[in-house]
Amino acid sequence: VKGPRSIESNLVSFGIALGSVLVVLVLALFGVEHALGARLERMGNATMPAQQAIAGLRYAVSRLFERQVQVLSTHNEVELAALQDRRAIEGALSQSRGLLATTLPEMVGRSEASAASSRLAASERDVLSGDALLFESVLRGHATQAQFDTRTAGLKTSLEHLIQDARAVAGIAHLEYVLELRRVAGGASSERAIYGSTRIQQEAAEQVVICVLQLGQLVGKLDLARSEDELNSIVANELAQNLARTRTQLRVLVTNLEGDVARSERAMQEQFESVAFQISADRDAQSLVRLRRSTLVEAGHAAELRGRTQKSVADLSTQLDAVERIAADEARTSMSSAQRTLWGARGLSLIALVAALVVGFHSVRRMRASLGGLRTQNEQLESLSRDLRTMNEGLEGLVAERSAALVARERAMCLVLDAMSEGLISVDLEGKVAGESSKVALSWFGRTQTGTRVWQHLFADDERLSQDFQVGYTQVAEDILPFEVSAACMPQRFVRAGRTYSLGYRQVMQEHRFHQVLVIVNDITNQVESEQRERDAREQHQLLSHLLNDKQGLQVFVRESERLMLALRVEKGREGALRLLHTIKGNTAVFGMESVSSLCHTLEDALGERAGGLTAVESNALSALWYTRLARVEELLTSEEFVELDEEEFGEILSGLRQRRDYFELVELVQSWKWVKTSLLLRRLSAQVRRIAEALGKNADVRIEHNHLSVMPGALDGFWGEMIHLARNAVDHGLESPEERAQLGKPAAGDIVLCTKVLPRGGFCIELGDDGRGLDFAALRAAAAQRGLAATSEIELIEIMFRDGVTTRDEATEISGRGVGLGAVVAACRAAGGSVEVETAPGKGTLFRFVYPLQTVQVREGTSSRATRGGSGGRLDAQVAFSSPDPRPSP
Amino acid sequence: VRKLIDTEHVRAIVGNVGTPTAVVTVPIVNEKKVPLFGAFTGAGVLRKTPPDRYVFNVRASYADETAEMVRGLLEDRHLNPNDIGFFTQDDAYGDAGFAGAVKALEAHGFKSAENLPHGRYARNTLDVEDGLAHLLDPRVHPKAVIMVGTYKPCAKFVTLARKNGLHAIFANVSFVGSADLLKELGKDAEGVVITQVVPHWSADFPILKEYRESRLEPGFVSLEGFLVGRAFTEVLRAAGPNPTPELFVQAAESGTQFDLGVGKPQALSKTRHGFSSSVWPTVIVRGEFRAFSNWNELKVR
Repeated sequence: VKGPRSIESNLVSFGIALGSVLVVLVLALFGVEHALGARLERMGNATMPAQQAIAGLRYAVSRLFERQVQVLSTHNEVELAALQDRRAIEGALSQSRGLLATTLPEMVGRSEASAASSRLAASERDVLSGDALLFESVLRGHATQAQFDTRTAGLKTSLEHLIQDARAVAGIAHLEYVLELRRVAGGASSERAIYGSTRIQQEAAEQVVICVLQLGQLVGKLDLARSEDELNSIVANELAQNLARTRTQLRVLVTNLEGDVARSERAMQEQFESVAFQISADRDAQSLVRLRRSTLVEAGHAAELRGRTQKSVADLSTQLDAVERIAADEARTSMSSAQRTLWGARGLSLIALVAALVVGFHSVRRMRASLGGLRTQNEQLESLSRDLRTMNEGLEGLVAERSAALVARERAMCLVLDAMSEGLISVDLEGKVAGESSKVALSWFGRTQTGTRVWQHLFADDERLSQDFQVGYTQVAEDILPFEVSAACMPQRFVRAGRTYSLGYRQVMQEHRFHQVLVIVNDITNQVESEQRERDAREQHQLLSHLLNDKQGLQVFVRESERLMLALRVEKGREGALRLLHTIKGNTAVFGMESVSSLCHTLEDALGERAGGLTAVESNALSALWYTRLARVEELLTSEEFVELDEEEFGEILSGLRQRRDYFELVELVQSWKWVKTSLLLRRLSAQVRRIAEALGKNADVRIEHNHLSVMPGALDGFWGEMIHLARNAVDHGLESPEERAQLGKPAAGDIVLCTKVLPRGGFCIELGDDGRGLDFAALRAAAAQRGLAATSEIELIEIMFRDGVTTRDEATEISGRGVGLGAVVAACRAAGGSVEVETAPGKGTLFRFVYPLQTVQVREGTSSRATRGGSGGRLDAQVAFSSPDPRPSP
Repeated sequence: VRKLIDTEHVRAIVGNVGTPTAVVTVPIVNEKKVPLFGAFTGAGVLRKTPPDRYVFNVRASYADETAEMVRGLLEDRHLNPNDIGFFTQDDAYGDAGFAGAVKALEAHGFKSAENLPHGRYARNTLDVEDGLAHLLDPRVHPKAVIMVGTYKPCAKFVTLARKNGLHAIFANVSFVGSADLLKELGKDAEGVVITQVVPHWSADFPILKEYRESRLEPGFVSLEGFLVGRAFTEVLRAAGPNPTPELFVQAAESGTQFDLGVGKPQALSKTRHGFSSSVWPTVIVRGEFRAFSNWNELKVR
């Protein structure tokens, strides 16, 4: 027993360990999942959107920057206008910053977040305003440049005209001079050619052409000036010099010219001054130099703005860096926290696994040890069974002569084998379930908790049984009475959850001391059921045999029993109920309906402990059982289409018909077929007596004297049913046991006489006599005294005996002993208007005679009637004769 | 030109006027693969070696004209190369004429043509004095002035030169615009020479008969246009019923003999895209153009 127990416990502990590991793992998983989920959620809600927002801001700023570069690299207002709309960038900026503003408080404190947000917003404002200023500056620069370009274009045309004019003048001067030279070559004076104005003119014209060409170059140079200094240098030096020289040369030209040419030269001079004014006049806001200066100033301003914007962008970038650091820190914190969580979970899982491994290893070792024990036990069992086989083989030799013993032994062997399926529970002396219970017991009653009392364990749903058991067990444990005796007082069987179990008890000694009780529980449900079935079958068989032998008798029995049960149902008094029950018990016992009889007995027990009659439930249960038992034969029983005739009756009617007897006689004869023959009644009763005697282990010789009498159908119904009590009493109380009889020198078989006859003094009587002890008046007197009844005469004692509830027996059995039976018979007889007579003599026997007035029973004598019309009584040499008062004197 | 080709889908350009315009047009037609046929210019840019695939000339070049002048002056009139002066427009047109003359002079063994007296005037101006000053310089004595210019400055130049005592043969290339020059010069037109790339309309050529019958106002410009039209239709005819620019070029270069009705029929090829290099010199006598062949017959006023 130890082996499986420890294997089980090891398995259980292993399972618990595994379960714990699983639980720990699941919990760890939950924990990790929760922690990681929280982290992830935070990452998803705050960190990632924040980083996204920062990236968005950076992208927007870079777009702004790119736009600035584009703005700065534009060449004119048209190109610039295409870049004017920066709403997309502003939208992206504000959207990203809004996102950041909502996510920042999730990562840092609210105040810190708002501070960072406001710093960011300020930087962003700076950047945007700087950008706007830059844009405007560039726009102004372009506007100025456009004006400059327009003016330059105009000036170029003017300059070209000027150059062309200068060249024309120079050409004319050149021609004049060449003509002068030709004149010199033709012999004229060279003085004019050398000192004259033509040469000066020609040279001045050449200079003017050169100067104007230079002026054109200077205009181009102005456009190329990249700084104000450079511009100033050009204006102050080259431009001023050029203008001065040109003016000088023009003046020279003009002063040396005359007429048309001089006029055209003066026009040229004016044109030049206009050009010079357009180029360099300080008071003209639109002058080329001032325009260029404005452009340069604007460019410088733009550069400055650009620098400022760059600084703003750098500021914004710094702010973004700070925020990004916060987001990165947050992400890193989340990651490291998640990592810590993971490592923690891994550690926990590892510990759980190690624990599981240790427990598993330990359990496996212990299981192996248990298995080793089991194996040893198995070997022992095998050797035992070998021995048993050997013994059996030895026994087989004796088979022939001792087959009966062998059968018994085989049965015992079967029982032994059956015991293998016994439930075994060790119980210590305090009633606690100790140690291991057998597997079967476990499967039946479940596992016990430590300290559970065995009665709580077994009879949890039956408090009364539990108490009984507890009381009995206390007695066992006290060990005062021999174990077998006290064990016999313990409950022997019980029903639990629809199963019937038998209980056995074994004393377990340890070191010669009473140590434990081994409670052996057997599931005898099947046995009980089979017994039940067997009993049912037996009852059925009995009923059927009665049906076949004496259908009428059975009908009477059934009718009578049903009447009694009906009466029982309405009977409220305890005594009356007991009487009715007793009658039913006796009748059903005689007809072999053991189950009904047994139930009646149980109900009598129940009634004995309380006042009042049966409860509806009880009487219903009785009826139900009754009808169940009767169900099979009832159909056969209730068919009353047939009238049975015996050979004698048949002969009688036949001869009557042949003799052509009186018609009314014949009618009466045929009617008599339905009358009840007392022979039949007596035979039935005698059979019952024999059965009772057999059941009680007594020999009874039953004689019948029916005197061919018949009684009116139904006349004795109520009474006859009760006769069984009397018959039972006669066998049980009257007849001695065979041993006693042998001592008294009486024949081994007791003599029971059953008789019906018509008394010479009138009246129909039924007698029942025995040759037994006779009435025990001493015991009757004691019983009467016990019930507080004072009786002196034997007559009075007999009368008391007729009352219900007086019995001389200590213990009621199913056969008799409740003191009810006799009372019931007497009551029935008297109810039918009859009287009772008793003759009794000690050691010689008792005779009961029930006398009915003839009118009430309508006795008929058969045709072959040899009715004994003997004298009244005299059968016994009676010392006491009792005759009950006849309430209705016979006529 | 781009607009003509791209939006008007012109398949060939005929009779384009002017050298500077031609300078711009040639790369376009090469790019667009559209024939430029019979341009009204003798500039070298239309006469490359080998010729541009899509450029076809009907008339002789300025170089041909100035070469004819040099030939006539040196061979017929037996002038010394140093007796030749130049008056040219200060641009590609003027330079083309001058280059042709220099080349011709070099062909006659004169290596320092660059040093010959050479006056220039600015395009679209009448400022001819400076140029005239170069030719009136007492150190030089030109007996003939080869002029490559337009009629107004050329007329002013001739007038002013004669007024200031320069008596030489004034020889203009055809582009000067013969009728306009005649009109502008008035009484100073007598003796001014103009070389032509078409014969005088009164000459005895089959085409001229048709030209005269066309009732056009007789003139060298319209006659040149007439000839260009003839040449174009000849080539177009050779290009087949469904001419494309490519088919046109292939037909032109196929070696087919094209008879323009002036001189003998000509065949073009990949290396020859000009129908004519013939130059007809004319002189204004009493307000009329007169063809001449011997430059020695000319009288100097």
